[in-house]
Amino acid sequence: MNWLRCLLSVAAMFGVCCACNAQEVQLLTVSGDISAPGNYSFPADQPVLLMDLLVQAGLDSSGQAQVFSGQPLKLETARSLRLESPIDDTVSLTNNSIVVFRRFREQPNAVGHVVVLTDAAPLLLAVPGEGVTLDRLFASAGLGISEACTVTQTAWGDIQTVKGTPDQIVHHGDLIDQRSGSPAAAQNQPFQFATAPAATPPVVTASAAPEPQESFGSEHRLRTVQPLLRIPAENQDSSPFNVGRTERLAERTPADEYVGAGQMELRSTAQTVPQPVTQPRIAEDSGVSQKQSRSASSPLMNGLLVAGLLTALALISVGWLKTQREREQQQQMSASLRASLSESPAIPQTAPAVGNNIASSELAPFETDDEDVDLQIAATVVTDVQTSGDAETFHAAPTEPFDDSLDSVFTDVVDDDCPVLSAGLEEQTQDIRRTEEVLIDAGCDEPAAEITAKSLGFREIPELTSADQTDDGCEDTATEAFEPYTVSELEEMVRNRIPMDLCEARLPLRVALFGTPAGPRRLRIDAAHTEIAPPHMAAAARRSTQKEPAAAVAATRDNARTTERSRPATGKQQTRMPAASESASGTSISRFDRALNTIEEQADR
Amino acid sequence: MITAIDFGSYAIRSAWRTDGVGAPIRLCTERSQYCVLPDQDVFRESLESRSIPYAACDQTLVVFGNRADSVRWLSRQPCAPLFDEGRIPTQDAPARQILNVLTRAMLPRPTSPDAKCYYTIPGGRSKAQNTEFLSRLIRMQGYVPCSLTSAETVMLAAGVDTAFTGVTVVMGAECCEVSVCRHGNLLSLETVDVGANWMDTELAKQFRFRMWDSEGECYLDLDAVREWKHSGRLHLRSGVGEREKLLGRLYGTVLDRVCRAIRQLLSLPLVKRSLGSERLTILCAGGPTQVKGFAGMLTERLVDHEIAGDIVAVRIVDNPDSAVVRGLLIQGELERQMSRGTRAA
Repeated sequence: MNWLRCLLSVAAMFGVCCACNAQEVQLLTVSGDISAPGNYSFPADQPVLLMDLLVQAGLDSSGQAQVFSGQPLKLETARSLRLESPIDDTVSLTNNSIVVFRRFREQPNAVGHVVVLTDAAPLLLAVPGEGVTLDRLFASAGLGISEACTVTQTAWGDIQTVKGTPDQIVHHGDLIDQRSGSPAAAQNQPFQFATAPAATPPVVTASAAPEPQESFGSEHRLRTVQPLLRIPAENQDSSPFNVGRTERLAERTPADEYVGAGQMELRSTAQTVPQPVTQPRIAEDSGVSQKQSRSASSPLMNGLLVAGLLTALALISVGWLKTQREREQQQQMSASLRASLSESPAIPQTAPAVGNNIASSELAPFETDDEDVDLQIAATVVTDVQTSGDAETFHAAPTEPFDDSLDSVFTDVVDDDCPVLSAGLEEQTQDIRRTEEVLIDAGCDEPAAEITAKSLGFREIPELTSADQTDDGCEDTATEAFEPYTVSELEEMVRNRIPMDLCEARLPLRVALFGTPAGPRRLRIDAAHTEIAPPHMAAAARRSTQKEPAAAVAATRDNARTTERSRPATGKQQTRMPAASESASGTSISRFDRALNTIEEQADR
Repeated sequence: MITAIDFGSYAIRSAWRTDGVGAPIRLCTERSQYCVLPDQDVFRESLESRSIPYAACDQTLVVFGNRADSVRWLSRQPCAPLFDEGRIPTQDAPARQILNVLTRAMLPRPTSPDAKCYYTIPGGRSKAQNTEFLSRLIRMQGYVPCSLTSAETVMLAAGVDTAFTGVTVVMGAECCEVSVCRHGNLLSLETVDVGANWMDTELAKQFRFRMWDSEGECYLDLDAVREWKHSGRLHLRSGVGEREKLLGRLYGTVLDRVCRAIRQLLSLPLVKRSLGSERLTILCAGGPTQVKGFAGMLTERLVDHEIAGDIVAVRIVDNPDSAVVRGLLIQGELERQMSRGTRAA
């Protein structure tokens, strides 16, 4: 049955991937001192310029635009934009870029907003003008501060990233990175510079048209400021941010819009269910846009998309069907494991990194049946180890005693939002857990990476029998395998398993130095060289051309004399005269040289 | 506590690790550059209001380290390097003092009077003046300085899969270090006095990456070249534009010299006697090795120099920027364990 499950999982993932690829969009976020901050989505194959995006977001003043992207968040470029002068619109944006616009003249706002980057789409949260602590902000938003949290302060001229502690104060325009791959999350992983592109956020919903009258307190995730802080009502109504924004949005007409932004569209992620991207409003004006619209409206593509989705759904539904035999096996195994667990009161505190690439947090949110709860409890005994990536910090998470209350815990963590993904992962995870149990049974102490690789190869895993599952030796072996052991610190360092924390040097704010700094090296541009005198060979060549027959030379001299007498001297002839004298002097010099050379040769002899 | 500092021509990186199982490594990086601003009240107030550290010199304000990049636009001049051409600046007194300030800020307080600090020198051991100056700086912070070469430390940091045996190539901003190691012991070392800055300068000259300050003085804009080079879009072996092709040629020139050095090192009697006919892995580290296509281009050059038969693989190490400082820490841990073993015996 395992091979069938595997096949179904792969097919389901393929179907989901097809569905996602069919709706590729690029998501850009605008924040800061701008009229309509929020998330904007554009077709993936359409280049988006910074200026286009800012105009779409209601650019109305001069300032500096900072473009951030990547994971961890990195400042890509900063561009000063002055509306009164021609703007150099050459900065193109990539997917998942975040643009923070800061006015040159900072104006105190009663209400600001910050961008929270999560593994899903970015969120905009409202903050008061004087700032708010991170824990208060997240508490009001119903979020939790993860260890990966970093805060990028984007104050003009002072961009810096700090670790997101609960008492960290965030201000208007700050970026809070809660994504799992951010540097702080890598404390348990070897230090990695972020070179890989950031993970693509989920496809956002495309609304047919922008909603200019969007209310301040709406629950839209994109292009919306969520009033998650309890701000007094009077502040909400009279805040300059809110008033100015709604007025501008209401007053905006198509004629006011930037020409380059015509091919774009403003979309919101009001719903979580992906919808197809709507066509650009003036797509007819552009050949590229027409191609895009044709491909989007192609019945073949739509048919393929629908067929892929239907196939995926069908396969997923089929994958959930279980045979009666499997159910019996699970019941038997759960009964035996429950009995064995009840006999062992203490859970070991440390354990080797079994199942290296499977974090315990990833195992939790799988959909469970009532019959599977006991199996998952048993699996947690095996895999409840902090094993994140390659950073194998062998500290196991403290576990609670196993009792019936865990049933409710596992019921709570069911991931209702993504049953499609959890279906495939649940199958995979069960196989991995079984593999681990088999390996523990066999007393295998292979490296964790190999165990994981084996566990992912479904066909190689022997299927557990009821006899194996009810074997009492399973519990004893598992307990022995999790006994704490110490690993040499040197070995850890050599294998690059010790996490690296980035910290900033505390430089003195002001010091006095002696001397004058040399500064950067200037580029020296030399003047062109003056003309160099010709070599002697030129004179010799000129002389050789004058070696003509004596009669001819005499004839020409006579002719020249007669012409001098008959006609007045022209300028051309005047210029020829110095040449003749030059050649004469050159001849004399060469003769002189030759004479000297002869004398030297004779002296040498 | 183990402490290490890597004085690089591009950046200075320090790292330390406290005693204790599972204690993380603290890494601190500061660019080795400074920016000069005129000593005007406007600039001074602007820096103070934004809490940007600065130094006051003769009629100038100097911002150094990472913050120099953020204020560069105020002066419209490129930043000046602290290590000019990989050397301690003899004609630039403020630069030497800035090195002292940075060293003090980047190293933690020593926990014992005989605490050691492992460090590398820009330009390798061949530049004795650098060694003397930087070791004094470290001694002023209360540490006992222990110098290593970058190539040696890279082998310690990334050579676990090859039993710490092989060839290391560390490409820096001002020079490249090539070494051959056997079981972590350095057999031979060669320094090639060409690095990424030379390539950037040639590119900037050729394609006129220039900037002018308020007085009309012209400077090469090397930061723009670096930004383009590390944008991740170009590939050394499949360059399309003229600029990419020139970059490929420049890399080829540098790698030619590196391969020549490798061939010379491998032909040394000591190396031949120690390694025999063993085929070696080349470990590459340093910022310039992060460009796409580097490993392929180095392989091509090895074939051209007819030493590809002695090489089994060319590998770019993980985290090529921090590999040197991590190797320094490993050296510190090694020595600590050896001293413990000696005491126990």
